[in-house]
Order: sequence, then C-alpha cells, then structure tokens
Amino acid sequence: MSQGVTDDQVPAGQDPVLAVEDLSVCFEAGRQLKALSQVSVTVGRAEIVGVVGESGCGKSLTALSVMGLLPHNATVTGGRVVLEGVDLGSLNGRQRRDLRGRRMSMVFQEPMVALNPLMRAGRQVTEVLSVHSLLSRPARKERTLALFREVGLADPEARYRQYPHQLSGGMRQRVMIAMALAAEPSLLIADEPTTALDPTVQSQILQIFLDIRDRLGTSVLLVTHDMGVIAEVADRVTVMYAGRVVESAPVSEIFHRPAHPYTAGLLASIPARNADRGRAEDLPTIPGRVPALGEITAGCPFAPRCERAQTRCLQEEPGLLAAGPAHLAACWYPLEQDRLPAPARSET
Amino acid sequence: MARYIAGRLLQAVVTLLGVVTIIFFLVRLSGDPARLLAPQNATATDIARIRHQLGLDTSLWSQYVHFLSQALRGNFGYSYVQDQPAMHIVLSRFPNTVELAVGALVVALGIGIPAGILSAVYRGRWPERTLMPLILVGQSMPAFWSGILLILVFSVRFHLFPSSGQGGLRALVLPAITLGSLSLATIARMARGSFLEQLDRDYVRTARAKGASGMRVMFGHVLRNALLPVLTITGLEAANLLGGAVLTEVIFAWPGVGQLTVQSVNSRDFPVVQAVVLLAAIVYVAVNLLVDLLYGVVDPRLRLTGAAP
Ligand SMILES: Nc1ncnc2c1ncn2[C@@H]1O[C@H](COP(=O)(O)OP(=O)(O)OP(=O)(O)O)[C@@H](O)[C@H]1O
Ligand SMILES: [Mg+2]
Repeated sequence: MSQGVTDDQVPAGQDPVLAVEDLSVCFEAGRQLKALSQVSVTVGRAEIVGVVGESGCGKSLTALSVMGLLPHNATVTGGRVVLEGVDLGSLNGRQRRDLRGRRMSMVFQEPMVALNPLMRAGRQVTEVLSVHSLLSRPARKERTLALFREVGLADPEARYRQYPHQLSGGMRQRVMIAMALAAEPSLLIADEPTTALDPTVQSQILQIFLDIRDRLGTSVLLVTHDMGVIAEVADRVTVMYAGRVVESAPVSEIFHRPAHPYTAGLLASIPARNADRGRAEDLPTIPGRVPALGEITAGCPFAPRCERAQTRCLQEEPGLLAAGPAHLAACWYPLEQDRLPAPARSET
Repeated sequence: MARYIAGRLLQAVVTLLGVVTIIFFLVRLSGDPARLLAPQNATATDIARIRHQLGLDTSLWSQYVHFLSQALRGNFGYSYVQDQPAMHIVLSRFPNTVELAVGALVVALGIGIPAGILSAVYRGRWPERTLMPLILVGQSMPAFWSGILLILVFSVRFHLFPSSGQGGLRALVLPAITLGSLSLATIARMARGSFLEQLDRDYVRTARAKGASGMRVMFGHVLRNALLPVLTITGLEAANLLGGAVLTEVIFAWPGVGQLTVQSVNSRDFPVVQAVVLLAAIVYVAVNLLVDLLYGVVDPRLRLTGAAP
C-alpha cells in the first residue's frame, strides 16, 4: 500500500532521526482490532513534523509505539520503528528503556495528571538525570534549574520545591518539557502538548519547541488535531485518518494544495486564528464521524464521509501516491493541484 | 491546622460522650451484679445491702449523673470484683493488648502489602492465583478455628510455640498470626486494588517514558501513591485491634483488654466494662486522628488546606 514512502519524504543525503515504516498495531479486545494500518512517518534532523487527524485516528498510538509504551492490550503486528539508524524492534527491553528519556522523550497530552502528585517538580526532572547521567546531586539540581529557566518557568527555585498541584497547567507542561529535554534527546515527541492550555500559554509552549529545534537541533514529532498549531510550527505534516496515513507533505503544500479531501476538510474547519474564536468544538467540522475500530470495511475509509467518493472508492483502498514534490496522498481522486480547493462541505 | 485539630477534638468529645452513655445503659440491661456477688445462700436483704453499697439502688438517672460527674474528674469507679479502680485494671491490661495488636499488624502488613503488590503486578498469573485464594481462606477461618488449629499443629504437635499466656516474642507468634490473618486479607485486597489503579495512571507512563526501570517506577512512584488508601484501612484495623481482640485473647489466654472484657461482662462488673469501652473509644478516636494527620504528611495535596481527606 505505501511502499517506498519514506524515501520520498526526507531530503536526499540525510538520514532521518526517526523513521516509522509501515507500522501496524492491533488491540486484543475479544477479537483483533486493527488500530494502526501501515503507518509511515519520518522526522529529519532538526525538523518539526506534525501529525494531525481527528480524535481516535491513532495519533497517540503512533507516538506510543515509537516510545515502546503501548497499552498492554496492544501489539505491533507489522512494520518497524527506526531511531537514528537503530531498529527499535531488534532491541531488548533494557536497551529500549535506555533510549527512552535519553535519545527520545515524550510530553503527554494531560499535564494535570502526567506528573506524580506526591513528588516535587524538581525531583521529577532530576530523576531523568539520575537514570541517564552520572551527574552529582548538586549538578543535577543546577541542570534542572537551568532547564526550568529555559522552558520559561519564573522563579525556578520555588518551582523546584513545589508539588504538581501547586502549579498551573501551563507550568506543569513546562515541567514536563523540562523533563523531556533534560537528557538532550534527539527526538522529542509531543502528544497534544497544548490542547489543555489557554491560547497565550499555547503559543509560548510552541515557541519553546521552535527554540530547542533551532538551538539544539532537536527533532520534534508534534501530535495535534489543530491545524493552527501545525501552521505555527511544523515543517512537514502527516495527516492520519482511521489508523492510516492519508496525506503527507510540507506545510506550505498542505495548506495551499491539499490533495486529500479529508485534509481539505480539516483545513476548512480551522478557526480564524486572528479572530480569537472559541474552542474547536464550536467550529464547522467534517460531516459524519470517524469509523470505530473494526468498523472499517473495504475501500477508502473516508469514502462514507467524502463528497467526491465514486464507486471505486467504496471497493478499493487507495495507497499513498505522489501528489507533488515530497507530497503523498491516499486518494483515487485527489483534489486538483492547481487551485485552492473549496471546503469539502460546500460543494453540494 | 490548629483549628482543624481543635475541631476534631471537639468531635471526639461528643463521640466519647455518646459512647459512654450508650454503654452505661447497655450494661445495666445485662442483669443485677449484686446477685452474682452475693454468696449462694444470701437473703434478699443481703442482696439489697450489696446493691446499696454499689450505689445501684438509686434511680437510673441519678446513677448516670453521678457516673458522668465522677468520670469528668477522672474517676471511673471501683471494680465490683477486685478491690481496685476500674480504669487502673483496664490500663494494666492495655500494654498486653497493644503488644498483640502490633504483632497482628506486623503480620497483616508484612504479608498483606507484598502479597497485594505481587498480585497486582503479576495480575492473572500464578502469584495472584495462589496468593489471593490463600488469603481468602485465611480470612474466612474464624479465629477460634484457626487459633485452635495453630495450637494443635505448632504447640501440641511440634512444640514450637507456647499455646497460651503472654511473655516474650515466642508467645506472641501464634496469637499474632491468628489475629493478623483477619486484617491481612483486607489489607492485601486493598493494596492490590490500589496498585492496579495506580499502575494505569498517566504519571506511571511518564516515569516509564523517562527510561526509569520497572523497580524504580514501582518503588519510586507507584508505591507511595498506592499506599495512601492502605494507610486509611490500616488505621481502621489498628483502631479495632487496640480495642481488644476478644476471641483471640480468650483462646490463647492472653491477658489483654479483650479477655478482661469477657470476664467483666460475665461478672457484671459495670465500672470495668465502662472503662474498657471508654478506653477503646478513646484509642479509636486517637488513632483515626493520627491517621488523618499522617495523611497530611504523606500527601502534600492535603497539607496546605489542612482539610481531612
Ligand atoms: N487501550 C485501548 N484499548 C482499546 N482501544 C484503544 C485503546 N487505546 C486506544 N484505543 C483505540 O485506538 C484508536 C486510536 O487511539 P489514539 O489514542 O491513538 O487516538 P488519537 O488519534 O490520539 O485520538 P485523540 O485525539 O483523542 O487523542 C482509537 O479508536 C481508540 O479508541
Ligand atoms: Mg491522543
């Protein structure tokens, strides 16, 4: 379905920091439910790659597969994850654990519950250094305070001693980011890092990602369902739908020449960023809903919601095909590339 | 914080007043102590004289007022049977009950917590499948049955431990196991449930994402969070045990408060029964207050507000 995808996506002559290749993941829930179907994503050095899609499309699962932190009832049934040339599937548990927090780290969606409520913020960060470095205790503290300053935490000494419940959501997320950056990983995975935060804090947090990318050359895999966030920071985007990659292209391509009707639909539902609108729930969205796991049958999974669907779409599932330079889309009838498409809904 | 403690103390006073009142009237429903104290061939006049000596011939209400006013001065009356202040008798037994309760708690926590953790971590595998049924069996055996079984095996058959009496660690082993096995199941099940719940929490995933080892995640993060509810239940168990374990103390002839309770109820020794119940209530209230304060130490979320969990 998506053969040779990765080669198209990364600039020639540069090994990607992360290459997810044809990854499939199943849930065991009485029967096997396929949650990810041959997902491929690559992240180059110092690149910020966005993964977008509606709730339940498998963004978090993709991120957790990379970290090796899938829920117990999920198994990888195909494909591989390569981090800096190392196939993570070939490593034993201990080797894999050693990479976590050191070469790759993750910031989670819910800063309110992602921190240990009984441990001071400072210690939760120094722990990374205890695990992965030989720094002395005072050196670990120094480093943590420096990290707190880097992520924009005012009064780091006070934050260091505070417990999570004494910090605001934004501060907790900054602590999470400090934790993720502590061992200077090559890859930072951020799973909806700003969803729970208010817009000003959101921009500040996104700015941190841009900052570390520029300063440290850190690669970022940024999971979000917000195209606005993508527009703000990402270099490339992978659009997911029902556990599949449906489109993948540089940001400007996606915004100006989306090929997949689903992507076009997502774009049409972006809030006017400057018009300070409410939350995403109030906004026009794509009609219909995402098929549940196990509900997906033959054909293109988006076909039931697609204005452009033809007979072929209902019978045969499209693979990823070139839709432009470094641009792939899984659609039999991609939107024409020479015009800005109208939103999927308004065509009737 | 001081206000919180003051509030709790006031609450405690009300509780204690309620408890002594109930027990005061309850014991007086059990019968006439004078009949038991009087010799076999005593006449009605003899019995009436005894009742007069014990102050039982006045109205119930005036007895109650007298009892309360004396109790407020720290005077809980004299035992009808032994020529000693009732509270003095109870307090002399109390250290033995404390010893037994501590022994039982050591057994219950020492086995219950590890068993709970193992069953949670190896969920559905052999540690859980063997430990949990064993613990359930231990719990469903009544003390008089398991106690006698232990005596038969370890005292009578193998002469490893004394079958009765108190003195030294060896004498404590069998009663502590008998009494502790009851709390053990409660604690093990609570620990298991609490661990399972905590293992699914997001902070555990965060810790794993840092590259922390399984041991580090368990002992550095999960353990403390998971033990919070276990602390509550341990407090309740401790408070119960300190009130005296009637069955176990009787089976092992353990000279604690529980044994004293049985003896004094049988002889209708009202002042001693009242003193026993009052002490048990005081201990209960104190242990619960202590657990709440301890909560504030263990859980920083409760520290600043000073609120009870
Ligand atoms: N532990 C689990 N057991 C069974 N199904 C699960 C489990 N976790 C996730 N799923 C299913 O897998 C699919 C993908 O989930 P995932 O969390 O990756 O979605 P997502 O794209 O991150 O969505 P969101 O935007 O809501 O975070 C969903 O349909 C979800 O219901
Ligand atoms: Mg998610």
